[in-house]
Amino acid sequence: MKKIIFSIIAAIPFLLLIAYTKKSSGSLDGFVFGSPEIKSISALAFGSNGILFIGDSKSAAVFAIETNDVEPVEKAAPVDIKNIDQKIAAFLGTEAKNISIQDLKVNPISKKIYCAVQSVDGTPVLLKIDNGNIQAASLKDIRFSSIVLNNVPAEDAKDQRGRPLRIASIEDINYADGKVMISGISNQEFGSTFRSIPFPFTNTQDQSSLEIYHAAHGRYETEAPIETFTTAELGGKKYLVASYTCTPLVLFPLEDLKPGTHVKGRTVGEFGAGNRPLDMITMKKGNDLFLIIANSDRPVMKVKYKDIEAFQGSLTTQVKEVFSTAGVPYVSFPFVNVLQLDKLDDSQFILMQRRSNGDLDLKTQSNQFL
Amino acid sequence: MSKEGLTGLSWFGKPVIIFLFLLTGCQQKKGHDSKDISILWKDGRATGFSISRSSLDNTPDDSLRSEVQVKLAGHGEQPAIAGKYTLRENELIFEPLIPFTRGLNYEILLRHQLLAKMDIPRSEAVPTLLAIYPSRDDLPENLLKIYLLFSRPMLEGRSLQYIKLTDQQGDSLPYSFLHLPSELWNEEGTMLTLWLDPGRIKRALQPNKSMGPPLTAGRKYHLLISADWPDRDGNLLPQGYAKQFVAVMRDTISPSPDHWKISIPAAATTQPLQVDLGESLDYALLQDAIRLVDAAGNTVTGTVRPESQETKYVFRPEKPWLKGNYKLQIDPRLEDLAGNNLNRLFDVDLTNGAAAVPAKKIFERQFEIR
Repeated sequence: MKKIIFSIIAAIPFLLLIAYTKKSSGSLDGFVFGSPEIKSISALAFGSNGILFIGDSKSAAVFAIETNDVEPVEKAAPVDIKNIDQKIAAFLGTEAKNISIQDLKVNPISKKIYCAVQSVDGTPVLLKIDNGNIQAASLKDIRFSSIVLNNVPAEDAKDQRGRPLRIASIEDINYADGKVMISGISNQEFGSTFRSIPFPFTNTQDQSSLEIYHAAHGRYETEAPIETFTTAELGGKKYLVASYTCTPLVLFPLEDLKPGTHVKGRTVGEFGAGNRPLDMITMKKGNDLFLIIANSDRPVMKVKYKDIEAFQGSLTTQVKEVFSTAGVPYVSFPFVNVLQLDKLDDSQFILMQRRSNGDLDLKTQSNQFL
Repeated sequence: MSKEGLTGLSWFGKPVIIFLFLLTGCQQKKGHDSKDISILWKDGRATGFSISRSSLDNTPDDSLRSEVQVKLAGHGEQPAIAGKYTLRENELIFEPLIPFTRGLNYEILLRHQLLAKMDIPRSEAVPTLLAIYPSRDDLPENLLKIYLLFSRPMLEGRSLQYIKLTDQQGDSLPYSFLHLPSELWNEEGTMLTLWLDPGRIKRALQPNKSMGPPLTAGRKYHLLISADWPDRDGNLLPQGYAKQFVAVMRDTISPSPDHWKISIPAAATTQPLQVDLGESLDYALLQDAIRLVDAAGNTVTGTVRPESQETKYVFRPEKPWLKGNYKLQIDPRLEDLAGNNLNRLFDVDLTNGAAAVPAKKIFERQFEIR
């Protein structure tokens, strides 16, 4: 019964979200025409056909918007924008200290870069970078669909308290195989919340809410939020490749991620304490696939998927030395303070880097570097 | 877009002087006065301005968007600020993508010639730190969370620049807090949840092994909040704040509602229901995870407040108590200061069987009001 109440209550904001929009004629797949009320943009991911997924932590919702940006570009021109924060701030009419760049994602069709920005007053903005030019990407009068993450407990106790004290934050979003995958953290339980939601969204869909833990040391349960993740095919099987604070690299078979299940991940690498993974992408060079990871306190790392595939078992013993690493081998690039990464096209990737002089630059790297 | 504040130029309900004028030359030539331009305010934010059509030199409607530009002043060469232009009968309204920033100056240009200057006044409201939870000054060495409550929305995204934990000698203790890309602020931007690094608290994890836990029993600490922390309008805290506390023994016992002492109020009164919890529990969860229902299962409306250093749950009913049976329904997510919830300890030793205890979906305490 309680579950039903929760579901109904969770559906209310969803209904409200669509209440002031109108269904366009012939609208399929739950898309409506209107102006979504997006309160924050925490994370971005592209689906197919120019659909952009927007993770909105403040609304505890994911929006799917039609960008209509579907003119294919095979090979993108390299992007090089120095002081990107200052340029975005000027475009918005403020100073760089008053904005933060939340996420950068390349539209895999048009190769344009979409950029989520938040101003200090909390206003979210979606921008598009086309051939180095910054433009606004409209969130008004568009076709969109949305889903409210139904994990807000104790909603029915709302009349017994003042303002809501539960805060949830969406850390990362990815789209693969018809599913939107979301990792997040709440301020009330330190746990790993991972959701896999079929897309197109429907009102009656199954929303998987998984608790994932890895028991790297055998003795103590280790439950922690995923900071960044991607998906990959290893040995013909699809995997979620996830990284956590301090900085294990963990594999979960995608087929095991089912509603209500507890999945035990396999730790294949420990990349050192005192560090957080910030972003990860997959790039190909020749016949080799590489996982590229940006970190808070270590350089960008490159891991060969072949090494991940070949790594059997799970790391269960403590690394011997403080700040040392274990598991799959990796190579460090001479790039530090890289905050964002994304694949630009088959042979290039973009990175946003805070340089030692304080400048924040967006630049392009060729996969010849790999 | 509401035109709140358009005519009265109200700002927090008080009349304010808007530092806005047409250039003297322009004013004389065109015979305009400062009433031709009004800043639009909404919730204390300058969301745009309106300018009378008569100020715009009979510019045709279809070229207004290209001929009227707004730029940030005093920052060298600047691009036109992105925003929305709306034409009304007698006015042109410009709304930037993000509100104009308080304390900054802007220029309105017509055909690249300066038409008017616009200064957005600083807010006069000064932020203060209202409280730090837990409020007690002896805290378990496996303390998990700290909440900071402010009077006004604060600058988000750089909190750890302004928060420091120091030891008895005044030396700062780095890596004490978990750094999250999306900080855990409530929607109003007034409450921040800080995690002490869980990887350092959980025994046998890499960060715990390499750096040890953030706190050690028997030692004294200071939590320092810097006076340099600005609110969203750029106004600094009036002073720095310090919370002194001593770390005490590790808390390794889950809260037990069976041991709570309930002081039952009399029927027909609005006396508070007081529950002595026997220990300090989590400030936010105390207000979110407990629900009071009557014999029919209906939620009793009222307000909840943790008191006596969060060792008491105090419920004040909206209406006088009716005679009958009541139940406190407690969500197992309720935690003590060390993140131990009703079903499991934060740091579970899988070898001692602790994890094998079956989890309960809800905990209940019944009482009767006579």
